[in-house]
Amino acid sequence: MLLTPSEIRLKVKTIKSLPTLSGVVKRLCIKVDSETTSFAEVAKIICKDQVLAAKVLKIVNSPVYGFSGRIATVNHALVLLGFSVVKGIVLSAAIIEYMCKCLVGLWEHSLGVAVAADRIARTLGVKDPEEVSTAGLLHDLGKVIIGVEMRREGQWVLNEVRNWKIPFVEAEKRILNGVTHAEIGSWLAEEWKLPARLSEPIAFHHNPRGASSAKEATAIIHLADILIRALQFGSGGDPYIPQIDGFALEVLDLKMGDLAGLLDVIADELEGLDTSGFA
Amino acid sequence: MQRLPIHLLKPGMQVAKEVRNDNGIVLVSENATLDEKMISRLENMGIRKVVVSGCPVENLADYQPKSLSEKLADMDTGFSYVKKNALMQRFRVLLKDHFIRRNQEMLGEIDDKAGGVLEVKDPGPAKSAQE
Repeated sequence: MLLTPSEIRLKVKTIKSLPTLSGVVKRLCIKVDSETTSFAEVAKIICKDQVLAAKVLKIVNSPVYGFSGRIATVNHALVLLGFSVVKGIVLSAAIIEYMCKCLVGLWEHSLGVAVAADRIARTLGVKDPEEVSTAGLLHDLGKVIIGVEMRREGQWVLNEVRNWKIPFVEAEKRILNGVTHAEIGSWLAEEWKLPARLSEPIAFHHNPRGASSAKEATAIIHLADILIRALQFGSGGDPYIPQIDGFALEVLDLKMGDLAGLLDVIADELEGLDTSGFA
Repeated sequence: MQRLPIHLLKPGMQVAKEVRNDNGIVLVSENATLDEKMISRLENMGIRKVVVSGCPVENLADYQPKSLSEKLADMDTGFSYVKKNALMQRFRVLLKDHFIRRNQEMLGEIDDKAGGVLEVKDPGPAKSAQE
């Protein structure tokens, strides 16, 4: 019996198998109102979980954000990046170990997409590139939810990929009644009150035409995902390169020829990228 | 010339292309000879690759996880599901060129004087013909 979309949505709402997403983290994302809470108070909440705080700082100090100096405190990270971005990083940090367990190579892929998104955003002179790269870290969040909350279905999806030689997202549609990791991730982003610039790339990175208020960020993540897969860095769950949507290139005012330069810049970054030591 | 990852640099190697940081400031000028202190400083500044003269590292390919033919074979698999439209055909050509060029740079097959690339050495036909 396949799960219905509403059953899947309920599982996302009531996540049981990701302990780090409860307690401190839940309080941070659902109850804290960034309008009335100071950075210092938010930092205090995050630092209650020292392991999580350490992971957040490791991510903040990684090539994803390209800060030249070292950011030593969560408070400083909040000042530099803002509440939404740090919230996104906290979510990413909370699921790293599950990412590594669910799908070998998924963390590397996500880190790669974050770095690629950052470089694309900076090359294009996009405002607040840190938001875009954080969306890169989170874009495949839904795959982790499937892997931990719907383990049986998750295994069936992997079997479909292997047996039918189809992309992960196609296998998901078959096993999850048309629902994919993109929707699932966006439902969690909604639970966490993430802004459009983080949630739309999660929801629409396979279908960038679906974005409304964050078309540019979504187009960047769509492209970054494809380039990282093309460069064979990490794994998204299948060996296939998705179709580049010409719409994304239009939104970003990029020609196919521009991709050669981007591949070089991104490949340079990936060569020095140390993906270990985050979990 | 060879483009070496920082951990393969050794004192005595000569820099073939000046090394700049993200702000465009020159850290090591062209033709400088590297010493321990300079290598250490470059590493601390987050520099990941340096282009050196000649071909001081034999078998640089051994330090790379996948061979060029493996990358190209995986690339063929990568394109095997997507529809063969003009956009993806162009992307495929671009990507193949990228892998071949990077491989040539790594093996030091870049013409020192002209700064261009010697004739493209295709490692041979990939496993399954797609077109």
